[in-house]
This record gives sequence, C-alpha cells and structure tokens, in this order.
Amino acid sequence: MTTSPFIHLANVSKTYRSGRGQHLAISDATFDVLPGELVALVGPSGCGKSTLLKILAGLHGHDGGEVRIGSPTHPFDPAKDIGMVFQAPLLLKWRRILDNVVLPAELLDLPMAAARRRARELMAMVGLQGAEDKYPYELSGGMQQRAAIARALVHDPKLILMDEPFGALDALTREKMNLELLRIWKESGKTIVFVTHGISEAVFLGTRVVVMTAGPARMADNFEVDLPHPRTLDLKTHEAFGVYTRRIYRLLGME
Amino acid sequence: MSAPVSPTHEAIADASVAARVRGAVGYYLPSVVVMLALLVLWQLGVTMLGVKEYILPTPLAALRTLADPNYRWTANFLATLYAVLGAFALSAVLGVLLAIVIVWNDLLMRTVMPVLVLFNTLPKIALAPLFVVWLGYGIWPNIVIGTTIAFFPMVVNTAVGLASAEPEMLDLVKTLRASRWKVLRKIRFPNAVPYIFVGLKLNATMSVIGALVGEFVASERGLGSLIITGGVTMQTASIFASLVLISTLGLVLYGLVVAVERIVAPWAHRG
Repeated sequence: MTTSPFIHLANVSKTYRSGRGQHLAISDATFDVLPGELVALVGPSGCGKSTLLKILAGLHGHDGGEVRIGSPTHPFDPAKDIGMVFQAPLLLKWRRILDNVVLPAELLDLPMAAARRRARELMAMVGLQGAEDKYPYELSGGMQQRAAIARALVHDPKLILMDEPFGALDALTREKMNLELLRIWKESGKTIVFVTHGISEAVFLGTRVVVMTAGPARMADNFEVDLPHPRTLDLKTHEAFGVYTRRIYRLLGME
Repeated sequence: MSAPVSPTHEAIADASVAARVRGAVGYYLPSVVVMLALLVLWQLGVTMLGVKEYILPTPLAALRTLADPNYRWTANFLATLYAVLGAFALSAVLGVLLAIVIVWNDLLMRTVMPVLVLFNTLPKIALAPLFVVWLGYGIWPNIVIGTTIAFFPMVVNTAVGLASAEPEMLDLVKTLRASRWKVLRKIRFPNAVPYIFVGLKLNATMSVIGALVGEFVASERGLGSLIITGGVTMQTASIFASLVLISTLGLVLYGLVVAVERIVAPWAHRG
C-alpha cells in the first residue's frame, strides 16, 4: 500500500479521573484509516468507542499514544475539516431546515451565498428537496437525521464523525438510511468514522471494522471487509457477510 | 420545562375557522358560565341579605363606581399602568442581562448568584420606604419596587434557558471553533427564548403586585393609593372597582406576552 493513512492511531489510551478513582476508557487503540475509507467502530456500551470518536474530534485529549490526522496528500485542518453527526439530529428548533444545514458555514464565516447554494445541493443529495423552508418539528426522525448529515457536509470537511447516527430510528428506516449513507459516502468521497453497536450495520457499512470490547475497554480486532460495492441489502444473506458478523459476535463473547 | 399545549391543539391544527371558534366556545363556555353564576350569586346574596354597601358592595354597585368622576379613574389608572410597564420593562432587560453575565463564566456565577439569592430572600415590601427616601415621591419608587419584586424570576428562567442548550450541540459547535459570543448569539440565546417568555409571564404578574406595593407605601396617585384611601374612608365599592381595573391590567399584560411569544417563537411549543 503506497497511500499514507489519513488517520493514524498508535497505542492510544484514555483514563477518566474523578474524585473516587479512575476509569480506563480506552487502552491501546491502534489502527489506520485510509483517505476515503468508511471505518465502523463497533462494540458494546462502555467500550470507549464514543470516547475515541471525541478524541478524533478534538473534544477530548488522550493520555498516551499517538493521534495523527491528515497526510501530505490529504492535509487536515482541525478547525474546519470535521463534520459531526450524533444519535439525536440536534437541529435548532427555531431555524428552518436550510438554515440549520448552513449553520457550520455560518460559524466558520464562509461566504453565505455559496454556502446556501451548496446546502440546497446537499439537501437534494440526501433526499430532502422541498423541505428547505420547513421547521424541524415538521419532519420525521429519519428526515431530521438526513438534514443532520447534510449539515455535516456543508462546510466540505475532510472527515465525517458519526456517533450511532441511526440508533434512534426504527429498524426499517435504519436499513434505508444505511443504503443512503453508502450512496452519500460514494458521492462525496469523504473519510467517515462510524460508531455503532449494530454488528451487521458495522459489516454492511464498513470498508474496515474496528471491534472494541468493554470491561476492560480495549481494541479487540481490526479487519478489512472485503465485500463488493455498491452494497445492497441482498448482501446480508450472503455467506461472506455471515462470516464477518460471526467473527464479531465471537469477539464480543456472544457465541 | 414542558411546553404547555392546549388540549384542543391537535384537533384544531387543520380545522376551518368556524370549527376553531366552535371548539374554543365549547372549551371555555363552562368556566365562563361558572364565573357569571358566582357574580349573580354575589349580587343576589348581598341584595337579599341586606348587607350594607360599606361592608360588601354588589358587583353592579362596584361597576357603577367606575362612572363616578370623583375618583379620577383615568389619571389613577394611567399612573398605575406606567409604573407596571416601567417595572416590567426594567425587570425584563435587567433580568436577561444579569442571566447572560451569570452564565458567561463560572466565577461570575459563583459570586453574583448568591448575592441575587440573598437579595431575593428579603421581603421587598420592607424596602419600599427606603426607595421613597432615595427617590422621593412619584412614579420612580413604584417602578423600582416593582422591579425588585419582578426581576428575579426573569434572571433564573433566562439563566436556565441559556445553560440548557444540548451538550452535544455545544460539542458540535466546538469542533468548528465557534467563539463564545457566536455560541451565545446563535445557540444559547435563541434556545433560551421560550424560558425568557416563562420569565416574562411571571414578570407580568409580579410587576403589577410590585407597582401596587409601591403605591400602598408612598403615592397619592394610582389605583394602589385609591385602595388605601377607599379603606380608610369606607368607600368599599371603589376598592372593588380598583380591583377590576388592576386584574384587567394584569390579564391584558399577560395576554400580550402570550401573543408576542406566539409571533416570536411559534416553534417553542411544537415537536
């Protein structure tokens, strides 16, 4: 492999200290993410996957190891190259959808006319054309999450961090959003780190899956998912798909 | 804080105006009937039992007093109105500004808030004579006394609203390196708007109380001073007439706050 990694993590550890003691949130996380990859971080609650995402976002520091984002071919500016999507859509209730989508551009003082044009294009890409002037409460949960994805893309960041973005959606909407995400990822060419506790979701979406376990929190596996793109729901019935999910179930002690 | 939603909210969403009016009449009719029945009962009770007017006037006698020019209703009503509006406006501005100061940093929170809480435990009515000493007779002591009573709920509610922005939303704007000022302007302040309106509704009621307290203590004008005079001279009907005007004033001010909220923050009670 000649491409240098976009994200490089080596022996990253993080301990939360409080008055009553300390809690090891991550120990020894080591993996690389290539530019344009969609990496799924999967594991049970308390395995440190969200903490790792916050470290990547620059919201938390880390105690040990090395965290490097960006490469000579893919430079990274932490002040404007991060797009975030959380489990809750976090749309501002008082803003119309288009005004919500342009928020990052507004905070970064980007030229607004161009940002609004781009926001409209992104809304079309995520399937929200016609909803520009609606208020968040007028949209379903799935639609709100589409808007949150468009918002994460509006300032054209190089890295998209997603923390269980479809965790609050019903099963059918969730499958649909998985397909949409793969399409958006292909169209935008972004590097995505996707945190989930859904094992089949991780295999279905990821070009690479990083498995983390809880108690003690540690990184248990890191493998490439060699399944063809574009992926369709049919894939979930294929034998190779089952091999990958079983591998994860075994690591999590569920088999 | 949960948003108050009227029970008919869903039902009237797409209904025609006629259906809405019918719905509203059906909803409010029972309470109106009860209120009217109580007034009729009062009127008949006082008349039939032969209660003296200086003890308890009938509702009609109280209303008739409003036509008596000796009480200079317009001038007195306006004096109270100005004091109420002054206290309301001053409380609103002072309350929101103090809340921003408190939420701005931890040290200010730890130093300013205890002072405010301590001040709020004082019975403000006991301060009234001081303000008269400092500000003289006239409208200003009434405005200031009203403000001391009404501003505290403004501060608390606004501060809660400013502090209650979603933590993950704040994470999101942090990754974009947004300045505190921008976060205040674009996230925290709009987020606090429904809370500010909760404060304004309390403020509307308490400004009326505050202005009257001021007029009780030191004023030869205003509905408060009319009530005091009415008590001393046994003109009980004028006291009830004053009460009608005061509660009307309070109701209209409260209604205005509700109406402005519907225009400014229609999103506040949805979703």
